[in-house]
Amino acid sequence: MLAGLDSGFRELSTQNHQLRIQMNATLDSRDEIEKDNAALRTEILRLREPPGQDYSDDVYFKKLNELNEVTQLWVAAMFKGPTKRVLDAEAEIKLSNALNHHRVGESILQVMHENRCTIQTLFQHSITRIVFVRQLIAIFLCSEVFGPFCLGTPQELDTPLRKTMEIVIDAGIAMCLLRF
Amino acid sequence: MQVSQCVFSDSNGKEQSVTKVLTVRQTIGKALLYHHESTQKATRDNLIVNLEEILRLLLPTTRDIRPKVRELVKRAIQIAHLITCEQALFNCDLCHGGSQFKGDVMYLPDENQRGRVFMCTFPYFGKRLLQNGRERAHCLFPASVELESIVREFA
Repeated sequence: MLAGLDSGFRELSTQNHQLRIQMNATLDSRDEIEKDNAALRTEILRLREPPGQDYSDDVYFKKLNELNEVTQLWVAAMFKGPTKRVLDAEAEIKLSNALNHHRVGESILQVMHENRCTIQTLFQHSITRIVFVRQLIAIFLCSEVFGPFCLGTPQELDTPLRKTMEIVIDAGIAMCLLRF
Repeated sequence: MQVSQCVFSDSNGKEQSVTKVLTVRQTIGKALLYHHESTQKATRDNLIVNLEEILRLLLPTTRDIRPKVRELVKRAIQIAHLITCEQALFNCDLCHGGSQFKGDVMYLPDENQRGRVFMCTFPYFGKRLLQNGRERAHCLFPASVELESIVREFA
């Protein structure tokens, strides 16, 4: 009986040994495949076309056109109509400051002056009032929403960030590394 | 030709892929948006209040404009966020009063108007393109303008 057990044990040991050899071979093979896979991934990334824009120019055109049209319709509906109201001095100053919030403000005030037109006269007529409101919205969009590198970034960080990006864009990464 | 496929050279003949530069810009934009995510609502609300405060001065009669101002600002911010995260170089600008009308970058709704640019009622949106080392501006959306004759007629 002991001899039988001994023989069975030896057979199991041999099987165990063979299984270990097979397992090691499988693990080696898996490591090789893993390496090949990583190399293939790198090669695929290298060969892939560079990613373009997330959205096409047409998408931006459509969205901007919608924004323009919605603004236009709303302003026409809300700011149209006769008024007996007269703008007080404080309101005129506020509106003048809003114009000067963007560098084009001064040039607009200059054209107004040349045409003997004041903020008060713009306000008195529906059509010029609507145009003026849209100009103020355009200044607001340009300086507050689309002007910053990223909406919400504080001014003291936004300006150097934009300038830095402009330098990198103009010179390229390699030239920046060489120059600075 | 797409910007991402362009390459520019400096005077020493070194070449730098614009794609890498644009990717850096895009990455910084996305990271900044992520960083400011918690304060975006407060920033937006602040913008709405500021715009409403100015526009209210020009209402012919008292009206509640807050809901529509909110909608406009939200729409604009949505586009601004897309631009921030885009792999391209956009720019937004306004036309100066007194400048000459240029049909390639400006749109005139009323063709009967005459004279120099009086007001710019919607900003110009452009995209910087770098092609074979040369930079050029591509008009994405023209600026809407009104010319001087409007003020002579009504004011």
